[in-house]
Amino acid sequence: MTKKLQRLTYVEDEPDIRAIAEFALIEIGGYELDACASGPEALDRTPDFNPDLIILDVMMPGMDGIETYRRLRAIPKLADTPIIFMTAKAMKHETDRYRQLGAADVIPKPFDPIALPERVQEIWQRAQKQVTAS
Amino acid sequence: MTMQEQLRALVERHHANLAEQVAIVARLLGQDDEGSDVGVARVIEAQGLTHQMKGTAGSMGFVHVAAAAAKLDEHLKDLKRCPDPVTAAQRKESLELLCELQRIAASTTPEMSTLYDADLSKLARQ
Repeated sequence: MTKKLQRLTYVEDEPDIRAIAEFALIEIGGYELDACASGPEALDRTPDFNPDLIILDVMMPGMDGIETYRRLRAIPKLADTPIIFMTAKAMKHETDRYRQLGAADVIPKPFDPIALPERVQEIWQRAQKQVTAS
Repeated sequence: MTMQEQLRALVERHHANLAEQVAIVARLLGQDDEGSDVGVARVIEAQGLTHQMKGTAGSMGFVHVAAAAAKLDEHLKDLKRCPDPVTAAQRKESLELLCELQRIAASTTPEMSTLYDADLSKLARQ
């Protein structure tokens, strides 16, 4: 039986982007969300929150999304959690690099907040199929 | 508060901060002192803010602001590779793009966001 997507961690330093994504994922998507303002905040809270999926901004001051990704992946209970990168640097060579790192997918910025929950759901379903197939 | 009201409040809050964000970029690029040089560090900071503005304004439905910010962002990426300090002549085009961004931001109202009148009635709790 396919696991239902319920709990998301979202990591984004920019307050307005975080607010609009929170609105979309909670009010439109109906997800339980833990929104973090930085990589260290995510590393502190995500193991206990234990999300089904993580959305990670790439360009953040201090610890960027790539470093946060590596550190989250090193936590055994999060080693297989699908992680989506969100970035304004979405040229093909950049998105290829994120996928090679192991990202479930890449959502370019700017994004349509109204379409965001559906997009996240699609990526989640694809990630689940890959887990089932392997 | 309905979902539509919540969304409008977010759009209005972002719009209220837009002018100040553009003003910070203008100060960093020395718009008030066009004849002087500015340090590369200021150009780098201005590019970071402009890049952020592109993503945020676009996600908030202000497509024209995002497009103008994207043009300035691209130009500042080149400008920040100039030797330090950046001269007035080198940043002339950036200041022209900044003027365009200022003009568009000043003429933008919250109602112009594509999210302002978005129909959310069929989307709630998918």
